[in-house]
Amino acid sequence: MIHLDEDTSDALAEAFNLALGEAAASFAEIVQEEIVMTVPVVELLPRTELVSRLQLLPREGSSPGGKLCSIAQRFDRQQGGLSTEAILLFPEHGSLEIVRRMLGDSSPSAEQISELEQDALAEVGNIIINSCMNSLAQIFGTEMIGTLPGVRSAQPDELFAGHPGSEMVLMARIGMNMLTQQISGYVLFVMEMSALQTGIEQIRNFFALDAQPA
Amino acid sequence: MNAPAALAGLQGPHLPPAAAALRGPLDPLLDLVDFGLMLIDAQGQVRGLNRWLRERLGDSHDPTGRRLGDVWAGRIDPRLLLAVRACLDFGHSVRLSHAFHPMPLPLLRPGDAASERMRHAVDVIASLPPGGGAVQCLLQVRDMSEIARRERILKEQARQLRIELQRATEAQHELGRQSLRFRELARLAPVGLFETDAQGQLTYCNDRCAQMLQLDIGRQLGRHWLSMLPADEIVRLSPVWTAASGALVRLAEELCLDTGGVERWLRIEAGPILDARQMPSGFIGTVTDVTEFREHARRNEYRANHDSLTGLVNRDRFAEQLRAAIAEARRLQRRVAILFIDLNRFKQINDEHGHAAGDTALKTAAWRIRRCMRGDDVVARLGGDEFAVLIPDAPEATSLERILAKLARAIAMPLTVGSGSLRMGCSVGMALFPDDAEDPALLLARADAQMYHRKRLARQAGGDAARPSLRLVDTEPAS
Repeated sequence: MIHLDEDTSDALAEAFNLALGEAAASFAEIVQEEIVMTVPVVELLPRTELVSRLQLLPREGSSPGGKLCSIAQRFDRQQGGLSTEAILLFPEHGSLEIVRRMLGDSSPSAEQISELEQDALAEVGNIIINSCMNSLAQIFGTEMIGTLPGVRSAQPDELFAGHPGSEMVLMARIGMNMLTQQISGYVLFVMEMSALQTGIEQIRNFFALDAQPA
Repeated sequence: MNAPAALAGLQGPHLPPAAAALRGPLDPLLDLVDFGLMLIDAQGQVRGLNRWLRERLGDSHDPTGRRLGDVWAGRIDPRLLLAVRACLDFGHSVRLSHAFHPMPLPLLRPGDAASERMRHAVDVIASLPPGGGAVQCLLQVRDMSEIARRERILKEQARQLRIELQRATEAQHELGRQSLRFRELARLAPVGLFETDAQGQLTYCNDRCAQMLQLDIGRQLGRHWLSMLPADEIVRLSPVWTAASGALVRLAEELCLDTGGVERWLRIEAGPILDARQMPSGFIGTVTDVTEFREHARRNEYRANHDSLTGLVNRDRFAEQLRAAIAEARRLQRRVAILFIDLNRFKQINDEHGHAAGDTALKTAAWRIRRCMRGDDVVARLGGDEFAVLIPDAPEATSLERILAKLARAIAMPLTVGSGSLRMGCSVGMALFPDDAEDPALLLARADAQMYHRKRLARQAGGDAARPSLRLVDTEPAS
C-alpha cells in the first residue's frame, strides 16, 4: 500500500501552492479581477474513497447530489513510463457561476452550459492543471507532454467509469474565491500503481525525504 | 516549405485526430479541412500552415520560417505567444477560449471587410516530431463567428424569456393576491356571496350566505345553487332561472324564509361571468337580507299616505283613490259618493281645552267615522278638522241620507276629555259622481260647498250646527 506521509504531502502542497499562485495571476490578467486560490491540501487516496468524497463535494456550495464539472488532460513523460490523467473537479453550478462572472455575464444562470462557456471553462481548468503540472514535472525531473483539456459534466461515480479500480489518486483540494463567489474544487492526478510508485519515489527524492515511504 | 510537407512530419501519441492523419498521402487533404492548422517548430518558427489559414490571413506576410511575434507584432494576443512558449518549453497543450480571447490572430473571413477581424479560437497542441526531438507546437484554429452569433441570439432569447417569465410570475403573484383579497372580502362581506360553474353547480359560498340560507357549505358544494332554497321556492324559481341563465341576463328575486318563526325576506341576484368569447364560464350571485329594508319602505309608504294623528289616509292618497274609484265606476257604470265632513267649532276645543283635547277630538271623530262606514269605503283626513269619505259603489239617496244621519249622531256622542266630557257636532256635505260632477276635484269641491251650505242652514235654524257645537255636558265628576 502506498502512503503519502505528512512531510511529503506538505511538500507537495507547497509546490502546488506556488503553481496555483501563478494560475491565479493568469486569471486575474484575463478577467481583470482578483482571484484568490487557497493553499491546497494534498492526499493520496484509492479511487473508491475519492468517489465517496466527491459525492459530498456538491453539498458544500450547491444543491445536494448535483453534477460535477470535470476538466481533464492526459500527461505522458516524453520517454514513456510515467503518465497521469489530471482532472480538475468543481461543482457544476459553482464552476458555471465563476465562468459567467469571468465573462461578465450578469444574467441569471441558465441550467445548460453553452459551447462558448464550455470552452472558457476548459481554459480555466487548463490554466490550473498546467500550473500544477509544472510543479509535478519539476519534481519528477522530466517534461510531461499534455493533451488539450476535455470538459464533461457527470455524477461523481460516473467520472471514473472507464478507469481500473486499482488506481490511486493524488488529490489536491483547492478553493477558488472571486468576490462573491467561493467554490471548492479538487485537482486530481490519477495514476496506475506502477506509475504512482515511481512518482512517489521521485517526490521523496526531490524533497530529500527518506527513500521508503513511512 | 509548404504546409502539408511541414505537417507531414507530425506524429506521436498526443496528436489530435486531424493532425494524426497528416502524413504522406494524406498531405493534400490538409488543404481541404474546415479549420486552420499551423506548425511551429521547437525554435518557435512557423514551419507551415494549411490553406484554410492562409486564406484568412489576408494580405499578411507569409509567416513561414518566422516567429509569430515577428510577423504580427502588436496584432497578436500576447497570451497566444505565451501559450506557444509554454507549449515548446514545458510540453503543455493550451486552450485559448474564444470567450476570453475572441481574436488572438489577425484573421479575416473571406469576403468580409478588412476592418472586421474573424472571431476564432486557438488550441495550442504540444506534439513530438517523428523520430524524437524537441516538442513542436501545432496551432488549431476554429472559426467561432457562427457559434458566437448563435449564442448571442440564444442569450437574447433567454433574456426575453426571463423577462416574460418574470412578468408572468408577477402576474401570477398579483392574481394570487387578488384571489386572497377577494376571499377575505367575501368572507367579511355583509351580504351572502356564491359562485357556480357554467352548469349552475355551486363552487363557492361565503359564511354569510350559508348563515342566511341555513346551509352546511360542505354538503352544498357541487349541487345546483337553487337547492340552497326551500322546496317551494325551487319550484317557483326554476323556470325563472332557466330563462335568465339561458338569456345571460341577471336574475333578481325576493323570497320569504321562515327562520324559526321569524319571517326574513331575502333578495337573491345572480348573473353570468362571461369569458373572452362572451360565453358564461359560471355565475356569481348575492343574497341580501332585505327584511328591514322592506319594513322601512312599508313604514315610509304608510307615512306618505296616511295622517299620522288619526291613521286615516291623507289628502293625496284620498285624491288617488278617488280618481281610481271614478275610473272604476265609469267602467262599471256605478255611482261614487263623496262626503265632506267638517267638525263644528273644533277651534273652540283647542282654545279652551288645549291641543291634547283637540287631538283627542280628532282621533275620536276619525274612529267614529270609520265605524260608521263599510270596509270598502275610504275615510280620509283632509287637514285640520276636515274629513272626507269615499263610497265607491254609492247606494240609493235614501241610504246615503241614513249614512249622513248616522255620522252626525256618532260624532255628536259625548267625548271624554280628561275628567270631563265634551260634545261636538259636525256638518256634512255630499256630492255624487256622475250626478254632480265627473272630475274628482270638482266633485270634492261640490261636497265641500254643500257642507258649508248645510252648516249655514243649521246655524240659521239654531240647530246643533248653529249652536255652540261643543258644550260642556258634565264639567264635574259624577259623584
